[in-house]
Amino acid sequence: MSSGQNVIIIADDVLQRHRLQQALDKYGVSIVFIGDPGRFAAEAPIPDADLCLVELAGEEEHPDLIETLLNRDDWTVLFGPGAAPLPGRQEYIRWERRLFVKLENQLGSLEALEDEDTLEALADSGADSESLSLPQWITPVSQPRPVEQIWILGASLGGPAAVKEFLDALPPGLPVGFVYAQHIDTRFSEVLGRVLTRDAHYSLVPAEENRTLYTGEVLQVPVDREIWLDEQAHVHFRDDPWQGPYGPSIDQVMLNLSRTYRDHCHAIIFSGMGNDGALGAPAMKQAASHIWIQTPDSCASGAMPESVQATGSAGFEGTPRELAAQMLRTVEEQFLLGKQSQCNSA
Amino acid sequence: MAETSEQLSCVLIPVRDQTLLLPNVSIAEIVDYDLETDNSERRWFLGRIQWRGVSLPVLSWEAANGGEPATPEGHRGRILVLNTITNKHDSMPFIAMATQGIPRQAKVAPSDLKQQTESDLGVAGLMKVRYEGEECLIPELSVLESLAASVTG
Repeated sequence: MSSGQNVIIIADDVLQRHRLQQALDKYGVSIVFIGDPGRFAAEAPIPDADLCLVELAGEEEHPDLIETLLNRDDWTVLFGPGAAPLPGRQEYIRWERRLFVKLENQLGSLEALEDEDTLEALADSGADSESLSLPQWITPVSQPRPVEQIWILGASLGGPAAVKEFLDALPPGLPVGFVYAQHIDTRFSEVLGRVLTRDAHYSLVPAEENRTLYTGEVLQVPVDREIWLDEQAHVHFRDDPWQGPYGPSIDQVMLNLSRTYRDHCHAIIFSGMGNDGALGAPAMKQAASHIWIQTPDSCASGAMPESVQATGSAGFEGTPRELAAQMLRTVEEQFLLGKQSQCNSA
Repeated sequence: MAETSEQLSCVLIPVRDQTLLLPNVSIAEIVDYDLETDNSERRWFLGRIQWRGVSLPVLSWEAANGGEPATPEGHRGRILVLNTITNKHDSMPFIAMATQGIPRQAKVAPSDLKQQTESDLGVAGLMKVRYEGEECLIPELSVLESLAASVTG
């Protein structure tokens, strides 16, 4: 957890300092000092810190500083991941990830996740409001069938409440299925499964090998094992855990589904810390998929949707209910354009 | 890109409808857009920030240069803390200015810059130049410093 971890940032370049600060802000890490080597040398008293993050273009110009830093035993000195590349590109997301991994190696997990009480409280809160009504041009699905159109719901801290509100707002009968990738402590997966779709017209189902995903279902992506879906909407496991720092990896879910479903799968990135989804989003956008985000201001933590926004991939942003309304408009448009005709005759 | 002794580390600063060019050393820090607003009639005076224990006036570049003050959209805006360079430096070492986004790095050699002579500089512009195809304005910092001095206690 990030709480209580104090970090000092020393960098000789003002832009690099700001990039490092921005990256640390994505996990709410507390920065007790930020400045160049000169100002650090003049700082008195030096604030208490757990870690000192150093990024110097000319390390050899500051031998005294390095020695002072390394001689302290109350903090760890961490040399940064090098100069930040231009933001908005893949290299920038990867640069941030390298920084996060370095920090986590020293400080432990940075990402705050839902605790059990918050999840239980979600069960008691009930549905906030009525679901929206089905637009007239959408022919509702009466008999569930294997999905042909998938919407990925990617979320982290603050995600369960937001995704619940989104699903609660949807009327029954949409010809789509959902794949729900939520960063969560494995121990609370079961609670989440119980509360998330309690008030919705859509039901959460666990991932099992060879299970078919039907319209009206929300597939809960496992935290510890990678999955993918084939053309018949059958779920398959890979033997390995998710690559990278996140479980499940929203990026990987996006890439795995996009490979098979191309422009028949779309993604919405909800509240969360860090930048998961920011590598998958541009790839999906290239395949002509819709990429939407929860408005950062409406998030418990806006870092994850903001990271996707910074890639220029997001075509729409809204509150969970606005996202639901936009989804109805989008599906209605598919019917009006005849893209759903095959489904209707099937 | 190999660095040469001719090159100066600079930053390109997004303001409304324009990009400003300043050397890195002018900028003491970049901080989030979070200020105590001021409702005075001086339209270029957006408010104040507390930085390193001192209160700094935050200027609107757009209004200081004779236009309408601009507030940044969404979360993009930042405040630049600038090192002063005129004889006001001792009494006022820093001033602050709002931007419409995060500045970008630029390594600039004199030969990279082409002066644009036939364009309107505004009251706070020193020179217009073209850098890598983009028109940039180098601000006249003394104008900003004079404005800031008039609201510094």
